[in-house]
Amino acid sequence: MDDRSFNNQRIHGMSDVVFECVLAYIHDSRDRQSISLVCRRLCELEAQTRKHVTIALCYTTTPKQLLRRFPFIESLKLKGKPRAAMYNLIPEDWGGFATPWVEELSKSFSCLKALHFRRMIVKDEDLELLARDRGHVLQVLKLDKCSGFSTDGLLHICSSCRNLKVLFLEESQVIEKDGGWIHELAMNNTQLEALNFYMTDLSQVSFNDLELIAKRCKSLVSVKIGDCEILDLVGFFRAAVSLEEFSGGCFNKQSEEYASLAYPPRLCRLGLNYMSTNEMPIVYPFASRLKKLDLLYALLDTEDHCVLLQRCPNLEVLEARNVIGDRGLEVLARSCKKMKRLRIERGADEQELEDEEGVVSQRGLTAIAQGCLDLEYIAVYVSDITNAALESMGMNLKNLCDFRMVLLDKEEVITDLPLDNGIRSLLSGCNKLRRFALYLRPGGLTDVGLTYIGQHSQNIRWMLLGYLGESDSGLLGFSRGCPSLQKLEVRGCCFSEKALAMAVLQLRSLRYLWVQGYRGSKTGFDLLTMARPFWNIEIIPPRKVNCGDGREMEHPAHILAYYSLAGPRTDFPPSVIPLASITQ
Amino acid sequence: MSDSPAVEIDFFRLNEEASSKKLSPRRNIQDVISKINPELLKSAFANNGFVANKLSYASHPHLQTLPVYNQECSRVNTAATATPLTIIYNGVVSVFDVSPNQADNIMKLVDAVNPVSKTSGEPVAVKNENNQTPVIAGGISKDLPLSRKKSLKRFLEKRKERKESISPYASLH
Repeated sequence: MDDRSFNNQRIHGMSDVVFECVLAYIHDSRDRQSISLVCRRLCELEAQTRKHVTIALCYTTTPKQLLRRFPFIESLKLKGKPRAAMYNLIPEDWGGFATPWVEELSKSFSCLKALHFRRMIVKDEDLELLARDRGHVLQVLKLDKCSGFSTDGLLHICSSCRNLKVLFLEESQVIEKDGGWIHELAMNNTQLEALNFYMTDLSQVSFNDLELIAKRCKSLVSVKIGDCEILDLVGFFRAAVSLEEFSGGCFNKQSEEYASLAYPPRLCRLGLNYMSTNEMPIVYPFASRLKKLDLLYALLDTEDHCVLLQRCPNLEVLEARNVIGDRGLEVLARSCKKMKRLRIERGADEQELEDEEGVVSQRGLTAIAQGCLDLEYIAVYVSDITNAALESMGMNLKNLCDFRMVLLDKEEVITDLPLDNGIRSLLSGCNKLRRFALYLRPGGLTDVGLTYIGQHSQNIRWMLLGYLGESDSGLLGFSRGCPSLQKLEVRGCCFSEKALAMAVLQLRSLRYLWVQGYRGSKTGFDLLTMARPFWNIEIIPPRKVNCGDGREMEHPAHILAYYSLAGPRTDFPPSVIPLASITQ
Repeated sequence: MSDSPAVEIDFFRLNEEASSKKLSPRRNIQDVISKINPELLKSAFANNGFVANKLSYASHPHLQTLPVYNQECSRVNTAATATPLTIIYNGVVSVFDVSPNQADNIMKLVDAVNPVSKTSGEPVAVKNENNQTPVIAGGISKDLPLSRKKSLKRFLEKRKERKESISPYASLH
């Protein structure tokens, strides 16, 4: 160890200035992590020049620890609730409170300009504090799938943060009191580049304010709103000359009225909600320009998808429900050769509500595999699948980084199960895979198949395993591999507590585990096999959840375990219990 | 090496305040970590093994990649024959490395104050009658239907509402 680094401003004969210059070019957090391990001086230099930090789970560290390690960050992303919260599986009061973070950030992080909270509980008081102490410098605020605040909190932000470039509220649960916040935004801000309150239920937003924002903010590039009648936005579209992305709105009037609507000249990312067959032609004039299309909340049938997608040769990103069907995917594969990201979500289960052609199977996937060779991300809900389709993907989609497939449970019989060989081919062919989710059913993947996953996932960092394997030995085989696996989610599998605990110990990169559905031991002791320092283990016990129309469903227990430098949580709600492991 | 700090274990909630906290003095891990040279600790691991590890059948060649841990604290109180003692009380499971002697003494203490019985007051009971600490055991596969993404669920509900509210005669106006 070079001890001179303690006192001198030189490392290996080179002055700090050299390293400072070099460090400015290094952005990847993993590279910076390696650099910070070289010697103390480089660790300090790296810490001083680090611009952005992502904390994947807010309970893994504390605001004070962050301040000590990276005092000059300009941008912070914090995540709270487990990902399963997006599927209504996590109690609302689980945690992920922004308050302690906002308090420290407002007080001590003098360079902070961008803040992103994801799946956290944010209060109006937090927003008020942020607005008061950081309002003059805050440029980016993202409250992403958050809850706990109201339009009052937004009012503070919009009144004080005059330099705000990005206000992102997508999918947050906001208590709506009035539309004053957007009026303040319109009056005070000329810097806005992106405004997003998509999939919130904010409806008291005046289209006059939207139009004013479009007029005053010349750099406005992306706007995603809630349900506002499209015809009311004529003025907005006319004023938003720089607009490239628009999502939201809805179509409530007669279709003919929409025909004369003019859209901004650079618009290339689009998502029109409740758009039906009759309104679709309004997209035709600029369909060939479209790079991104969101049809998740449109009212189109399979034929509509075919007709529309044929006109979009430059499409790179598509999101749709499975009403797109195999036929739609075949059209996509033929017409859209530049596709990079494809997400096919699950539509309604009731047959009357969706097109009967609206199923995706091996036929559509094979077409995509052969037609969209640049694909980097695919997430799809399938009704049927074969090994051959997966093999085809493994052979052709060499740029694939993210693969997610869920086998729907409607069909009794699936053409070709188990998928052991197909999955092995997929994983060994797509060697750039970083994220992987496979959700099948009992019999979908044997223990051998699960072991294959372990053996062929060199670079995968995140995995979701749903109904995979047959027994504990499958899990243990799996956990002997996966050298890069950092975050593991397991649902509906038949593994015992003991096997889960042993798997955790074998997965050498694992720092986060979430499990729902497992074979519990009588005492709960078996989980303790994985007890060790810095490893927090929490249980969300089984609970009855109201799922609407008077029915109640029993949710099985969850296990959540993660590395933390902050010790066990101190803010448990009644619905979460810790398994504290202490050594003396 | 520092002297072993005094440890107070409050099994029976005699001290109401302490019952809501952990059963031993909390170490300020982050302070300790920031003072340790990672390289020194890595070589310490290599020489002495990781005593805080309570497991007999799993080997841990990868422990060097774990966050730095203050080994000093763990070695002070553990004799060579230390084995884990697991205590579950009031919904909190705690594990201590104690010598067989210490374990015996603790058991005797429990027996003396609270003779072994099947009532809900027993410290090692897991299946509890009170609502605060329900059974930990997980569920089996069949109870877990596919759950829908929140955003899509909301959209499908809204779409249903729209369909029900739009009458077939609206277009005749």
